[in-house]
Amino acid sequence: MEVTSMNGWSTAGRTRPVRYSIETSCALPRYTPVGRFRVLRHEKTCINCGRCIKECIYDVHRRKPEDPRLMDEPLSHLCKNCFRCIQQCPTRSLSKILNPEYLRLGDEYWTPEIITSTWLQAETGRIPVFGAGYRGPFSGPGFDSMWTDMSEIVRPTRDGIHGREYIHTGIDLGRKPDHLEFDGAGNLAGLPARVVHLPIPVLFGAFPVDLYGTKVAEAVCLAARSLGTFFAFDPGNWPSLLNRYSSSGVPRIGDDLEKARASIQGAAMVEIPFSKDWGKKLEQIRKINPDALVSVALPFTPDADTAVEALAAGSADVIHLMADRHGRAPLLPGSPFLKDALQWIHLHLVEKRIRDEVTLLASGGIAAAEHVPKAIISGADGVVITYPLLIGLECLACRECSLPDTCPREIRHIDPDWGATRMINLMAAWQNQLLEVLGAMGLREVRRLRGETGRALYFDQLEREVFQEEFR
Amino acid sequence: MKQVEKRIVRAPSRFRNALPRYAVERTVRCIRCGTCVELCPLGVHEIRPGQNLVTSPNVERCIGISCRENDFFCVAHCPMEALSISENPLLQTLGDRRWTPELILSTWELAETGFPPANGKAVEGGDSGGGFDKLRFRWKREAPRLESLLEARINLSVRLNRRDRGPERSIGLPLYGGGMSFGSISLPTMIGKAGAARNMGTLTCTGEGGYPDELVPYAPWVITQVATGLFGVREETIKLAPVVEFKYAQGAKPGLGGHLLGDKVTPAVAALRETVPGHSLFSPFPFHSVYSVEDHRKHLDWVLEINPDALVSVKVSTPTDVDMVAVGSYYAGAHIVHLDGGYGGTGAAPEIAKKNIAMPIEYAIPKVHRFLEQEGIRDEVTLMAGGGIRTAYDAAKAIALGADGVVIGTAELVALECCRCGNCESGRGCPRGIATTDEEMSCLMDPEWAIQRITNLYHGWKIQLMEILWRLDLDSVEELRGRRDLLFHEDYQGTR
Repeated sequence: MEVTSMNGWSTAGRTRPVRYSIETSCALPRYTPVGRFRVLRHEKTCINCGRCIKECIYDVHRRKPEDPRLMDEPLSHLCKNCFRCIQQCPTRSLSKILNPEYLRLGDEYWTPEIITSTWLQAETGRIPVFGAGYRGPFSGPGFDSMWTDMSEIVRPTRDGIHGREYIHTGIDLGRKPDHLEFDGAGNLAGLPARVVHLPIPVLFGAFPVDLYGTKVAEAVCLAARSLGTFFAFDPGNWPSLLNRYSSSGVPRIGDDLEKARASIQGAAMVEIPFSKDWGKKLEQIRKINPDALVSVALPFTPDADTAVEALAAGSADVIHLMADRHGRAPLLPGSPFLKDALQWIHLHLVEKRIRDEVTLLASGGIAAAEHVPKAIISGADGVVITYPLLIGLECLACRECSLPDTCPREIRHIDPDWGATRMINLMAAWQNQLLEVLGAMGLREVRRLRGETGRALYFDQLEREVFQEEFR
Repeated sequence: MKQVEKRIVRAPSRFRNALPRYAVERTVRCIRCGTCVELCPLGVHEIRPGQNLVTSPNVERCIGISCRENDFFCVAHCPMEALSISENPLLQTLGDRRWTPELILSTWELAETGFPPANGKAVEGGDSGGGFDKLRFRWKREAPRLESLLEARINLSVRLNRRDRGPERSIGLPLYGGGMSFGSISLPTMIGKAGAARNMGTLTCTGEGGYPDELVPYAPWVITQVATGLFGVREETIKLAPVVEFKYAQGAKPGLGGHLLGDKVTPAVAALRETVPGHSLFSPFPFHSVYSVEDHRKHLDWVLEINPDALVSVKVSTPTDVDMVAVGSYYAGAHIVHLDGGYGGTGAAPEIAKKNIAMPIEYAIPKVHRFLEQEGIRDEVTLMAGGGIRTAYDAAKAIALGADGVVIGTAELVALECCRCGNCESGRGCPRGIATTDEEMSCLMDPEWAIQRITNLYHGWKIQLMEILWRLDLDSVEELRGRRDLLFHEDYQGTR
């Protein structure tokens, strides 16, 4: 039993505040991970001398357990690319290539690097740390065309990032009206503002039960509840066994409100799709459950700015803007990236002076930890993710889920506790990386990051300022 | 600074096999007639004495498919059509976008021979798709022969002190070695860096892990670093140093401070840093005694009080207001402002920081250079730039953008046969014995060999820098500073 003192400090010998720290524990993979390399041993010329065993400090090479006179197949997934075995083999019998299976993972947006890094974070809960500097392209599309700023001198201390002066990563969902209204009798008019606090700026999207099964759904429930965040679900085919998690659930309500009445009654937040009669639906939901926050979800359409303005001026608590899986807004001219589409909506609300009236959530293309602060800088309060959680369960991003029982990782058959641990680990790693970014900027809370484009550096702008004018 | 006579001698690889660019396949159709052995002047094929078997043992000498044009092309002349040559897919596993396989191999070659490749095909940079990799020089004339170049007496030295106090100090090349701490790198690596600095008349830096006794013989060429952890900083070490560097931030982990993982804190490292073995060491960030230019000045005064002959350098990373920071350092009294860009190397940093935090050095240099010019103090500061300088060409481009000189880290390690596998930070550290403190792995490298390799690299760069200046029709590297008119950017060429 953990005793917590008044100021939020644990007294169980830890030196960290209990709040806003996520407990991780190792959750080993169920399958051999896909490594970047395939180590090749040329059997014809190999003399089984064992020199490679001596050279390799990562245990890629070993003798056959059943016949120690012979070398076994290299354990390629352990290879860390140091070339020692290749450069020291007396008969030059070793080589390696990029593993074709690795290259096939995901696509151009959900890159093999992102996928394998997600696996590692879900397994360990630790943030990826490597030496030798940055290895990627100078910049790229979407989120890769911005850098976050840092502050040279004034910022929380290094140990403050992970300890004594903790950085707040929580956000508030709900309306924050800029003034209170009273009726003639001096009573508060209208609904009091309801705000729900989440300790991390990340919510979980819906995992269709028919695709992923009940066990994945339960893992999502467990992880969301443990993290104190919300998960979305479709009440239509929701297994009743998972109703005990309803306080963390956000039912996505279609047209049939009556059918979903029970799930609305138990929810802290409800989501409806944007439509012409959103106002009517919202009222009906308020009648069923006046305490629930209502989120309205819509894609980035050409008139999304005025739609969002109407929602904010109306009484939606949360607006959920959806990009596609690659972080694009295909309905807008030129299919801009989430960062630009978000900024457009955010600035429109700022201009209308109603930005603080609502919470903006963004989803689509949030693939890596760095995308969270970048989406928030672009104007979101928080993000909604689905795919990274699935990848955290060792998904290969092969996108064959729509066919029953074709999943090469048999994700339907996971142990829910294991799945939850993987998701919690992943979120712990993401949160720690958010702390790194905030710490470098000298910000003590993520809410201050929203729309702070001054805390970012943009490729286009810098190119224009520094190169384009000069080097034509 | 005393010049020590330097001799450039070959320093071959520590490893048995080179990494071949091409694969030469010989099928079972080979009848061992020896035609290919006689044909190939490069010595790719060989019949070993006492064997009638033809092997292709020296495949790294093969010049690949382009050999097709030669009349000794083995594939075309094999009577049995038993030979084929292809690109070796092994190379795709080496390096990355910033350090391409070709760039790593060419850096290894420079470090082995001490001279740029004879065929004139120097690798300029990488394939990052931006920054230095898009900037090109507007050449004014063709490259000269090596002899004429050496006769041209092109001056590569850079003054480090442009202020009205402190001693005159120059370096013979427009570059010096960046800070890498004992703990992040092995002792032989440190000695290699220091010996090369001595040989080439430039400097290297201890990093923030203290000043190992083995470096004392090289003291005139060693900058010592003071970072927030103050690991191993003592009055004696400050007194030894020609230049003292204050590290406010590090490009690869800007705003996050130094981080040495517990695995690498061996008893020797801990003793030098006066810490506990096996425990991760953070340099707490930032200097909590510095919140203003005045506070900053206090630091500098403290150093100059201990060692009045020292120059003071201030190392900062590249936020959006990097220009303001540089000016602040000047007013605090710094002789050298050292900008460290985000894409440089490091022993350990969160991936998220390396990729995303602060701007690449290519933007920071012109920003700061212009700002100092506008402030009217450009000629009172020496501006050094590091964090992403991979080649002599990068160095020249950085100088043309407005730096006085550059700071080199990763390239030195590549000279020591680092293959950029990126495992510097964990477990026993570097499998190639460069960035490790593991007792067994540190023995993989002889310090004398390390000195020679880095000396060779810098000698090769020196020749390349002279060639660049020659082709730009300049007599000294100081004339190149800020000559943005000599550069163009591939993407914006002709858009005027």
